Amino acid sequence: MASIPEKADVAVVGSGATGLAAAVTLAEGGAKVVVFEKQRSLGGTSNFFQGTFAVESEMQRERYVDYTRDECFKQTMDYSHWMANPRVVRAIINESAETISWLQEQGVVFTDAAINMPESPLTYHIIKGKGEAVVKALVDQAKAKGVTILPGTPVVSLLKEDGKISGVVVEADGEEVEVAAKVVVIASGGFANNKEWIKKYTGFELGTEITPVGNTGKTGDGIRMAWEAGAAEEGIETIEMFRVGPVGDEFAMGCNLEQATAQPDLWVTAKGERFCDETITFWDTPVGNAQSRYKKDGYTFSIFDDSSIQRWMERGLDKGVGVEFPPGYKLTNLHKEIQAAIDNGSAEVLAADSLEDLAAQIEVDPGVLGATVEEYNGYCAQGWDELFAKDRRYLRPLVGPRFYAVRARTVFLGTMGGIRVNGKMEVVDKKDGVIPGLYAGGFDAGGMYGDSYPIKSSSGLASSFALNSGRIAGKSALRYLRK
Amino acid sequence: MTDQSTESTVTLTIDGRRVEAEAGTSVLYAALDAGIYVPHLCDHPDLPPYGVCRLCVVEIEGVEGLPSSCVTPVAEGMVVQTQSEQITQARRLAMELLLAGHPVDCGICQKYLNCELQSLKQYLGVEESRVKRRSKLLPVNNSNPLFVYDPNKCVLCGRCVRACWELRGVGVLYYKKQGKEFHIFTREGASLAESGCRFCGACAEVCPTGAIQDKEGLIKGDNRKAGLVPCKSSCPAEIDVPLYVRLVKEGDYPAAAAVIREKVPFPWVLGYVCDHPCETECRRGEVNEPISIRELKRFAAEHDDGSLWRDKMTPKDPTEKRVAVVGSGPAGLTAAYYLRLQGHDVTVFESLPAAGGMLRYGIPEYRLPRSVIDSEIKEIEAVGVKIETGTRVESLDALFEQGYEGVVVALGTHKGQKLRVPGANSAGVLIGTDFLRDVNLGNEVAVGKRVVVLGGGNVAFDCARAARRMGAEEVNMACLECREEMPAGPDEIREGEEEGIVIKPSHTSTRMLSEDGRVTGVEFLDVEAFFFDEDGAPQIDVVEGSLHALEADTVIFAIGQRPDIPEGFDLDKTDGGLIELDEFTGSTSREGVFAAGDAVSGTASVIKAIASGRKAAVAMDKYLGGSGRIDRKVAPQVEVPACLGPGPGFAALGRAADRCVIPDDLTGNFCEVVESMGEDDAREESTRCLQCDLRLKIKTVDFWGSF
Repeated sequence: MASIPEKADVAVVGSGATGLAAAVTLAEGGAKVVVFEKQRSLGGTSNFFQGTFAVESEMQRERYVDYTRDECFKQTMDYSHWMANPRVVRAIINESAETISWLQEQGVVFTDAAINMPESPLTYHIIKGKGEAVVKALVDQAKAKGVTILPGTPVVSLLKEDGKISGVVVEADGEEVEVAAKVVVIASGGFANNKEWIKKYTGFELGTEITPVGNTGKTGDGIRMAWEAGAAEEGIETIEMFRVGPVGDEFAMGCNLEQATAQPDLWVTAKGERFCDETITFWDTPVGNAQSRYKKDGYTFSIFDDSSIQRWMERGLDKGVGVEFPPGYKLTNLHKEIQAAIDNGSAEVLAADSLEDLAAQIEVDPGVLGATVEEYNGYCAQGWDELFAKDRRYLRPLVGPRFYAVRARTVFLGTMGGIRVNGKMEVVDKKDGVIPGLYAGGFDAGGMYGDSYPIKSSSGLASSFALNSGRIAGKSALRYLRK
Repeated sequence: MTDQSTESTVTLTIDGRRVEAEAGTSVLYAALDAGIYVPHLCDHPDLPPYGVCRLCVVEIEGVEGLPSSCVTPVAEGMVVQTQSEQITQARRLAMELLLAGHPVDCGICQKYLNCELQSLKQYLGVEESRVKRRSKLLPVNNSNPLFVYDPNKCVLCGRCVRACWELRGVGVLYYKKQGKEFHIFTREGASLAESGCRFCGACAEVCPTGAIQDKEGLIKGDNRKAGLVPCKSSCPAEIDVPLYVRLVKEGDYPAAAAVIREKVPFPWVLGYVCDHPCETECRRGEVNEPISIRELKRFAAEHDDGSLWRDKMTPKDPTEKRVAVVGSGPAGLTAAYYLRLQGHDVTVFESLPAAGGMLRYGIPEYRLPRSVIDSEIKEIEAVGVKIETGTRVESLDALFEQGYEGVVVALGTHKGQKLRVPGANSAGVLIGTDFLRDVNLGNEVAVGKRVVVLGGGNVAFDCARAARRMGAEEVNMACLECREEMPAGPDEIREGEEEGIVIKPSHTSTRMLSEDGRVTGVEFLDVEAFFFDEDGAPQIDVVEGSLHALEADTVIFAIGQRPDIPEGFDLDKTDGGLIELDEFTGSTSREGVFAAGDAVSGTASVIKAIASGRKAAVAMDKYLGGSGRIDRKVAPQVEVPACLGPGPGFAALGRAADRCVIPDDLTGNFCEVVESMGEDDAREESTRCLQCDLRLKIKTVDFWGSF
């Protein structure tokens, strides 16, 4: 088992996609690298991604996908209203194709270049074995190239000498140990679990108004350290939101109930009123944004009936959930799951023989819910949603005999900024001067996004930003180290 | 010697490497100890092997099939392969069987990244989507204190049952079949408390998945170790509470006292007046009632002979650096004590006639006997801290000119205030801090028969109860907060009421009534709601038409205090008039000047003042070129047995009864109101401790990434 070295060329903070991509890139260039991971298990949030974004990759060329870097750059910048850092965006997009090939060389297998939403370019490169396989492959490669990987060893602060990075202080068995390093790559994955910061920077009350998914122990360590070392701030307010239900220990991710809740049937607020064109469900970002208007309530409802269930059992989903459950996937387990939830006395999943009874169970004024359904059924009958202009293909009336409600929460997949970097992933200070030896990427670095995740133009971008910013940071650091 | 060691050592070959292992070691541990990773799940280094998960299978020359390495002892000349296509297939199959009954919920599971199953899944590259799974859809058992059992996540590795029976000897967990699935249960499904559980947490600690977990919210913050022993982590001075509670149980009182002494120079004082955040956080409180930690601390201090720490807590070699400390309260004296132990020459300046600050001039004697303060200050002086009483410092420059290289400012918050309401300047309207100082100095204090105290905190109670002792017959206490939100501690409220103090919550005073310039009463409105708005400004909604008055011939304001910082100090202050500190260095706006205690934090507790004094000592020592390491190990190291034994009735053991003795006639009686704990009571009370720290001694399984 590895022990903590006294010095290295590079200390990497975090073992997710960013940290590992940087570590392998640096080791390829001959640098002596040590990766510190505060958790016992490696990879953090990067274990979850099912695909990653790239443009002009070989796989896309083979599939006649003609979406170009230029188009993607323009669309991504437009999406952010040019709030994003254009040099960062350009650098990531330009690097993305090569990163796919590089990952293949490391042993990662991609099964397809596809997309899991309508009207979007096929930028999503699907991974065999999910992010876990990327983490495993990069760790194996890193170790083979002499990288030291130390799980359960948090970095607590950065060391600086004469304005340059000179190392890190890590915690091991309750003691603080200094490790000298000329370069530090910060890749600790943001601050999704830091209640105080989430409130301060995004305005959400963590746990009641918003719930993190796939993030554990993310307290913003890397961002804090960089700021302490003089780094400027960028993009700290942006988070990657969407809408999920039911949430709770009893409900597995990807269960039939979760898929049902995501379907574009009737959605209402805690007051029982419609709040969006439900077909925005196809794109996580708008649905997350629409849902977050009701953050004080903490939830909205998806309402459906037996006819919905029958349709999902026979014809399957309209909206796929992740790669594993594409459109057309049939919800054969839904009845059983609903019954189990009701038997367990769940407050998240409710059923009733009438709308009045359902309204009582979800604590909504029955008059309001009744009027909402009547109005909605009217739109279905006339084939035009006068309120939110929902596509008529998805206008299906609620007729019973049983009615169901599932509480849907606002969740988020991560925080998307904090440290200001330039296109080389060098960390810059408040005067835009480079802090020599300090690099950042992934969820710790800002500049890739405006106020929302640009899902329509560049699906798979969060993992791609992690991988590519890690690789770019690695290459820049090699130049700094003159390797 | 050599012969013996070769006899008990076995040499074998693992993956072509020569490996030595003690005879009796399993092949699994021979490999792991040699740095060769072999995946394993049901095995745990602190538990007997079980051999059911089939993940640790290996090939052994001359042995049929794929034996589980955890149940195969090493043998001389054994040749082991830990990797082959056949082994990988077998491990993947075993993993798929484990995953078939486990939900895909890593993304929302609290155990994620500490979960052995997830790490193994990652290592073996088993894709959940390829596993045909069965959903158990069972309810999560939330009915017990401290722990949650989610049968859906259970993979039947049997670790919890082995930990409960064989490691701890408690024996309350069983396997049982429910429907088609096996689960972990207590006998006849009784609650953990009824079953004789000791709530040691070993089951949750060894659980490789999220099946048995600590209740979220009980494990606060990021640091799991700290969260598991909240009494220690909630203590501002980080006193090792479970250790001294255990030493009391074992009857080693000097050792218990030494543990407390490692972090604070005021164990006995704290035994009387600590506001004990540890008891609020104590995990036993979730089972029934928290451990009476403060009383145990007082017990340990009362039974301390100093034999274990006095010789060790002596100053290091002189550094020739002189430090001045302004203020001799708990913060100042703590900073002085530790700086003196670091070898500096320390002088404390105190403007009042005796040292102790608010311990002596704020807290009345019935709560904290003067002999207790004297005895602990004597120990501080004994290491060479010089205390100059009756000396008010007006300028820091003067101190630097006298050759002091650093100054710690710890002058407390002695300046009380009155509300700006009509009549507040009438005769008979007093300020709480001044009143208490006069009482404690033995000055003449004119207290009428009817007293109204304004305020709802501990200082207000000190005023009210002192007023009773100064001859007041009727004492009313009025505060803005509703009763549930009064800032005073619950024992203060209880004891105060026993002394006849009448509490009037949700009251806001509008003016002092007076005749001929002398107060005769206070006019109030009832408060509908009292809260702070988004900018933190207090807001009061009053009940219309609720104007009423209380008669009084003395009114005492106890509505908060500020520091009285001389202009000559030239220190930056916060908007609230407190001394501003740099968040990272702990320094004030002036070089070489550090600060501690209430003057920095605002009026807080004794333990917070002490903790703040420790911090200032660390910062000052570093500034003077020292290491900043002020902690010394003085308590003896003790081996703690892992076995606890059966615990029938353990959960029901009640907290030691309150030993408050209120004298019948309070007038002039400043005798202490809480009696010491007897030896039997102290032992019984310490026996109730869940020993949450024991759990941290259970070994952690290293994941594949560590190899």
